[in-house]
Amino acid sequence: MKKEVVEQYLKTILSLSEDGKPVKTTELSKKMELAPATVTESLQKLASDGLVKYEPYHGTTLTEEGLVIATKIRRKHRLLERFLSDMLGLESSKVHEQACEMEHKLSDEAEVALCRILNHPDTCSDDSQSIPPCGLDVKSCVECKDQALADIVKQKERKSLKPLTELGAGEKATIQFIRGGRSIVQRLNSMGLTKGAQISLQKSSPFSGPVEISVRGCKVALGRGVAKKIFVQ
Amino acid sequence: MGCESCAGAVRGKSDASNYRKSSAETITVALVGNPNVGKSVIFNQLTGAHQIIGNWPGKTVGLLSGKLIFEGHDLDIIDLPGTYSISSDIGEEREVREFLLGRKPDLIINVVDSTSLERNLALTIELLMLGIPIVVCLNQIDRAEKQGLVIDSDNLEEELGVPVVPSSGLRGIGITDLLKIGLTSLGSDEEKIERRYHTPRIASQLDSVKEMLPRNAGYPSYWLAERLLVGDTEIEDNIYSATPAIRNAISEIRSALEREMEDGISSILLSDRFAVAATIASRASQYSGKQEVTKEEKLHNLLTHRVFGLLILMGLSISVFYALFTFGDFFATMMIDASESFRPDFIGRFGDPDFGEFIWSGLIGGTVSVLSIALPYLIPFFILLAVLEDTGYIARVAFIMDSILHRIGLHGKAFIPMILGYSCNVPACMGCRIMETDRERLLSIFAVTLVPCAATSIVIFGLVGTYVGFVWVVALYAFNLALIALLTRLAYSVLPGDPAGLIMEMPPLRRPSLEVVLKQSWHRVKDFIYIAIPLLIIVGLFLASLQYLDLLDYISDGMSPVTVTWLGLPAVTGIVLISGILRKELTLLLLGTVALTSDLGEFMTDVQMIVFSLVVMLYIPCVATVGALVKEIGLKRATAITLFEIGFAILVGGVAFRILSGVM
Ligand SMILES: Nc1nc2c(ncn2[C@@H]2O[C@H](COP(=O)(O)OP(=O)(O)OP(=O)(O)O)[C@@H](O)[C@H]2O)c(=O)[nH]1
Ligand SMILES: [Mg+2]
Repeated sequence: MKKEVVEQYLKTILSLSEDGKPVKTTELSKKMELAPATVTESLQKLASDGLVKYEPYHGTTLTEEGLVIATKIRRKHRLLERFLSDMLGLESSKVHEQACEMEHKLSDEAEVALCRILNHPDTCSDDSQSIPPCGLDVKSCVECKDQALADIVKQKERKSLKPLTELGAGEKATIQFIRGGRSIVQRLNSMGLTKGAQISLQKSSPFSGPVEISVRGCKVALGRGVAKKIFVQ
Repeated sequence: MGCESCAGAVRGKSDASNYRKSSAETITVALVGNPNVGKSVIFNQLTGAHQIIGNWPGKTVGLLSGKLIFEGHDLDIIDLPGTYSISSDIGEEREVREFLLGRKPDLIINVVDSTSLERNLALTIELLMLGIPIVVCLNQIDRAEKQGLVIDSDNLEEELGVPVVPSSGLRGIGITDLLKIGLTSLGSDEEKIERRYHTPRIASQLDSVKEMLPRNAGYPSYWLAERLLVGDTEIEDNIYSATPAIRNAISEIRSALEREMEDGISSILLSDRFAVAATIASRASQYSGKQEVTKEEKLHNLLTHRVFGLLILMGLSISVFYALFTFGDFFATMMIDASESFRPDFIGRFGDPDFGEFIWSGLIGGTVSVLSIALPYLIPFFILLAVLEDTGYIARVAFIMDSILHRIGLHGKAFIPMILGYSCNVPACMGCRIMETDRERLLSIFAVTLVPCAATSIVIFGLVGTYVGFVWVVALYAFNLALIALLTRLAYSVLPGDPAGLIMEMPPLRRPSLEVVLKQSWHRVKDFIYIAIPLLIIVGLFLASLQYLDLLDYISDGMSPVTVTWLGLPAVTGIVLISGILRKELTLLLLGTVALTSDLGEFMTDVQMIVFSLVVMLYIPCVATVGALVKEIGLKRATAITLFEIGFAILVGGVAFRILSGVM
């Protein structure tokens, strides 16, 4: 299978499994506009490569490895969308399709450069979906900005990280990464939101409202923008 | 901060015992702790001061000192802003660090909130490294007990190696013990003084750093080791210029740790402190029985609900206004009637009725009108505000207003100084320091200066409320809010930049303490009376003399293009508006003086009253506020804001006059 096709499958599975349930083959074939037989065949191949777990009649889920690739592609896709609309000024209706074409060709270096030139965006331009954090070995976006491109290509696996805002009420998680400038990271750190800290989401107001979390025995209110920068697992 | 200034931060026995010998020497005691733990309550208890207290984090800004003589010692107590840590360069962290290292207090009273020991003790552990004698004040112990939390203070004392005193600042329990025990610990043995708490992995690294350091570097040694490991440039410059060789060795240790933990060094050290704090806290505390937090939680959920929360806020504001209106109106009318009944009799005693009028309106009128017009509105207003402040409701309002404030370039916390602004703009401007960036601080200060303070409210209630009607009072406040939103949004587009987000600890909901509420409101009323009455008498006499000497007309005529032609007001209001620069309530109280009647209904029409109030509401931050502005944002910006607001108020007033004359 071609790299592009593999990535397309994994990406689609990721987007269909947002609810946490295994993805049905019929769903997948409809979304990808392919015959169910073709899809089944491909899924078996992906499963043998260890990228998905495929159980006939039950559905397909991503393995850790598959999730890493899918998240990476999603990040590239969303960064490209930002680039196409913010910097090139493309119409928003064209952006998605174009990004789909480009995402498979974008190298990791180019991804990093894109993220920097766009000033580390949080979300997509059109639907404000969150952009997954990069897998670079950096402690903050400030550091990334300062570092030369050459020496950060060493990628780290950032498995299944999601922004805090995607937790359900009452759900617990561990902080893995905080995106953003020095002062906000320092502020959060001092209040006990450090890497590895256990948090639980107390309350999330819908739309652009703030969230409330509990961390180290205290309640802390965070604006949505801040909460989106905190990635948990 | 120079190196010398920190020398001797590690205080030995001989040093400390000096204090015992000469009780003439002042002992400096610093109150340090997380935000909202009760430092200022304790400060007030100790010194009899009236620092702002309330139930949200970040009230105290800047340092405040107070004196106290205790068992023959002169104590200088310093109340500091609350802080979660003292290592980064965030405003308050830096401020407290520089104070502790620069001023070298003799004793730290570390106030901790017993109900969240884990987070609070992390700061304690950090402070212990400084080598300054510490006594830990286990405050709000009453709340801990209520939650069924039992803290073994002996165990805590043992773990931390410093005295621990349970206290309840509000009830004054444990406060004397705190000082007594604190003063004895001034003479503790040197080897016990620098304490270090780390997990073994970090401890070993710090030890290797510490070994490399020169002796007598002038800083507490573990603290210095940590600073160098983090890479604090100010301190690095001092140390590495003497011993450049260790720079590389230390940065190697740092990178090794960072690689191993996959995290930044300052975050690693903080995590480590939190981990140690969690262990100590869990060893010392125990939950007994059931925890009764559900009722508070339910209320909290209701107050922060996106629909009900907003409805409650609106309902509450309207009821507050209505209560103020009915209560204030009732008493004001009663007291004015009473004073009026004396007036003819009083004036009659003087042979010359003009002179009698002069004395009455200048000398007596001032005091009488403060008592009769201002206080009936002010007292209930201050009480309601103090209740709101003490319950923790204000932080909930900040929460539900967050997304709305985002649209005007601010975030939820900006609402806190705005609420304070309804009392007085001066502390509110200073309170804007809780905003994280300069840009947001400037924006919120601008918003705050547009908020009608209590003095302005006296004018609105006393004039529009009494003579025009309650609906117009509400309309004025609503219009004011809309203007604030609009102008701040405009200012936001002039000062672009991404709004930083809301980061705020959610304080517990409390039943307000009667004592705190009464004290807080009493001090505000007292400040008001002490300043307003003398000022009113002086200005009143001045205006009365102008009138007596027939000079007032010149001023009135000079200003009439603005007052009469553009704003449609009586000509004499010109001098009144000018006096209002001193304090805004003067405008209402002096109206009586220049109108020569206390029934202002005969003097001004409804439209004139509304326009007048509108201008007073917007036209200038009073002298005290301008002073605070200069201090907070500099002369240039303060002047710009002041001039803008004068022009804007006149513009809005004139437009309102034209529109209202058409409809009313
Ligand atoms: N129940 C109880 N409440 C307390 C006690 N001490 C303080 N409080 C309340 O805690 C809140 C905060 O008190 P402050 O003294 O203003 O706190 P602070 O530490 O100075 O806060 P910042 O200046 O914001 O850092 C107030 O609402 C007080 O009424 C106590 O011992 N028991
Ligand atoms: Mg305080």
